[in-house]
Amino acid sequence: MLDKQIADKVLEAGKSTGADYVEIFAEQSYRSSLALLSSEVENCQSGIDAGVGVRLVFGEQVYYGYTNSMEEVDLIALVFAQKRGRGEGAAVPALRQLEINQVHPCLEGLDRDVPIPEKIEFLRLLDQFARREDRERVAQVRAGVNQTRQRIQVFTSEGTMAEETRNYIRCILSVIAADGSRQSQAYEGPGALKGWEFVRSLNPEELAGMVGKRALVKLGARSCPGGNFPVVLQSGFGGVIFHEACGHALETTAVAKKASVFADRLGEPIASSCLSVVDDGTLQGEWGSSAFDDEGMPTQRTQLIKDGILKSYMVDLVGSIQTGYARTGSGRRQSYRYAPASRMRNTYIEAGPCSVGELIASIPYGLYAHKMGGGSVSPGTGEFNFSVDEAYIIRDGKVAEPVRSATLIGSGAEVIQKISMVADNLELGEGICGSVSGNIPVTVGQPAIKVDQILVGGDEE
Amino acid sequence: MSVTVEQTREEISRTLDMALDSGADAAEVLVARSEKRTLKAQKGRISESEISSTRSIGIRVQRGEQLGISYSESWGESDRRKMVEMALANSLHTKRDPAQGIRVSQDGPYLPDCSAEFSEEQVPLEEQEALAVRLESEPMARDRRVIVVPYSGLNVTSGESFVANSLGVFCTDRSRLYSCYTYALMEENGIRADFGESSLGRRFGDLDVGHCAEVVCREAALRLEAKPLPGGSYDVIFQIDVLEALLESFDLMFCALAAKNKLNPMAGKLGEKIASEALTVWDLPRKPESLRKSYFDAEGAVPEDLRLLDRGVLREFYHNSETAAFFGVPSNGRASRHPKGPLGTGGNCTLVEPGEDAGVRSGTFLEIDDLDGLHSGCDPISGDFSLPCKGKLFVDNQMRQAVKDVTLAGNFYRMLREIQGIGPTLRPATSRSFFAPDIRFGKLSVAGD
Repeated sequence: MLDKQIADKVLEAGKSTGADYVEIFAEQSYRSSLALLSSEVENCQSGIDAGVGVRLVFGEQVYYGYTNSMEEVDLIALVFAQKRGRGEGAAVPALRQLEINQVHPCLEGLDRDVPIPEKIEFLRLLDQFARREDRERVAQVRAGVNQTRQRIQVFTSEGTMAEETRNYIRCILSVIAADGSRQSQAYEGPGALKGWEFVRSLNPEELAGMVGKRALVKLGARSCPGGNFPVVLQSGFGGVIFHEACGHALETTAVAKKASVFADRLGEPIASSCLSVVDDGTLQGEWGSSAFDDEGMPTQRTQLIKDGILKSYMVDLVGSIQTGYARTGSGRRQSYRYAPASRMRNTYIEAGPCSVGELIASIPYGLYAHKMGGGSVSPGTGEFNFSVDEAYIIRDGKVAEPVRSATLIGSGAEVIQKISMVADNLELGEGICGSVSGNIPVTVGQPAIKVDQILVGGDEE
Repeated sequence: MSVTVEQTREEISRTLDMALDSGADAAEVLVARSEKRTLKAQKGRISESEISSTRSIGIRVQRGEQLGISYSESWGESDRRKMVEMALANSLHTKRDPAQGIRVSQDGPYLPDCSAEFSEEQVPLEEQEALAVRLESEPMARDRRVIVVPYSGLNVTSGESFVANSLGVFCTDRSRLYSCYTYALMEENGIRADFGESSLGRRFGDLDVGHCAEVVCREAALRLEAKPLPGGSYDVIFQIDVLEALLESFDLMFCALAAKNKLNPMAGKLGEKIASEALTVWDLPRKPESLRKSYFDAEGAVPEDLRLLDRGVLREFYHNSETAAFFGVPSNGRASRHPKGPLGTGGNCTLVEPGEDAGVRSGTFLEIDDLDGLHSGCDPISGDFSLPCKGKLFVDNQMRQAVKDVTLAGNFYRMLREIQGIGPTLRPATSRSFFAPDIRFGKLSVAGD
């Protein structure tokens, strides 16, 4: 990819501008996607993303430039287009290759690709099993698989050279059910930092059956009532509540600007004492993992909250300079087109002592959010929101009728104080998080939790 | 990385030749080239500066009734050859569909006059930096309750696009857009509120920092006083930027490709009344004031004005050549595609015709000026939405209360049928790619206090 000698010269050019720190991020990504629609191959495409980003850091000032070219002359020009060189500056230490201590094995990545007909066959199985749920009312099925083989190199003026190849795979299944003029849809998107072997581990009948059933349940569901209720959020993607309610506000991207409700609160109780939360980039093969972050630092397991006490933020390089907190290997970016920023990786609420049944039995009237959709947050005010994809009324301690179109909103700082019960069934769910450094793969996770009160938006007829 | 139009044209021509020489019956190439500068300020000085220069090339190849797609950001001859090979390999696996194909032809290059979209002015970097600093400093100077302006910035983006195919199409256009934004966080008595505003234009002088600062301070201050409303049904008028975002979340309803793929709930309803007869909606590719002009679509076809809804009756979908062939209608030049993606359909500048209801803001209604979570709380298939919102409660066009901590829920397609009134005054959204009057929607469900 980027020649080491060229990297040396670009780093020297960067230091000649007087920069305290210079970093090069080179990327070459091969992407492949395959999609079935109406039981036929709708789309089969592939392509190559390639480019280099160069960052110059002067104290707290950041200059960033990127280009598709990997030629020395273009990269040097990019440096001097950002800042003029003075022809002097500290010499750059010799580049040392960082050893990868964590390994995310990949058996069948795009460099050892499975034949496309085999992939199509798997998608056809998803299509068939989904339609089998109800041949009259399952109106459309979209099944797809997206794979990426991302090669990155990070060179820094501190002498670091980190190289990593990340293999991502994600299976997308969307089912639309229709009954007369009424329509509904359901979706699942399991993924991993792995190759096709991840898809082999999936049970297409189970996956497609689950999504098909959910679409049909939603079709017949009445509108959700609005109001303030206790809510049980099921495990797995239910972790999006913490991600939106609190996670972004714990990134130094927001903390350093004092645009977080949790700024300057390290060591303070910010959550219910039954809550402990981790952000971990080392989990083998998980969607949000990597060996290094996108600044060349090995990723870590970071305890964010322990028994309700705020223990750490997620800190990238610039965040560390701005706040004085130690880096946590949380610098991430979508691609070379973005400067890195502190971002979440695999973020989850740790398992608790209760059973899911105990949580539900404790509620006379409320909502059971079995499957969450996505959401968003304003870290500065702490206001968050997320949609519920599959929900049921809880009545007299039992799960009752399904409801649709529920949205949960609230204040992150308040809602984590209202988590009163945590179950023991921790699971993770995959998603894409969008923020200042682009769209990145993350997992969210939790066991089932009970929130004593949260505002539920609905359109009860 | 300076590349001339002629160089790009030569590279495109050679790529098309590679495709035909390798067995394609037809081929089409898209190129997108972009140069961008971004400046952000913190604590009174420039904190982030970003520059970029990128080019992407994408190809569609046709073999019989099959199409294959590939793209590359590497521009060497061998890289483009590999891209062609990948596209041809991909075409072997896609469905056979007589409707799909590379069809648009042209007798000569189409080089529209883009002088209105591309200002040649050279703005000194110092002036740009000064504006970026003002985006942070002015809100703080206007209101001492502003504790921080965490997000603000100036963007200058220059773009060039090319569409070419083996049937003679060669089109190119270029544009430059200036945009700035500021987002203020305000605090008083332990309560926090925020607001963001942006300004766009084709020239540097179009940017209005003072207006942005005034708006963010005014609206954030109102939100400090905001309270929930009692739950119930309310008539709603969406502030125009919010209305634009909401309509975009449901513009699947005008998409012929979604209709072909059984994803559009309006499929089969052309000629039917699907909305209030007060509602007429156009797609205007060359409205002079628009910042989203289109001289040609992603296949090289030239789009004309399109009336999508005519007094509540669905008249048109956005078509490309594939959907037009499938439905047996002429294409209306609404092919959309990025070099890295498949062919789709989409619109340009949307205009909602003004109505005659001068009393649209009479009585009691909720004006929504913020809708969050559109990407997750809207279901374009069913039309259902449930979204947190902020706004103002009006009585007889006088604001009574700022509103927050409420959710708005309903069904978008039902909402279109239950429009209570459309005002007489057309306004542009901040994006200047959406123009609409006040539209009063009846009895939407609010959950709050």
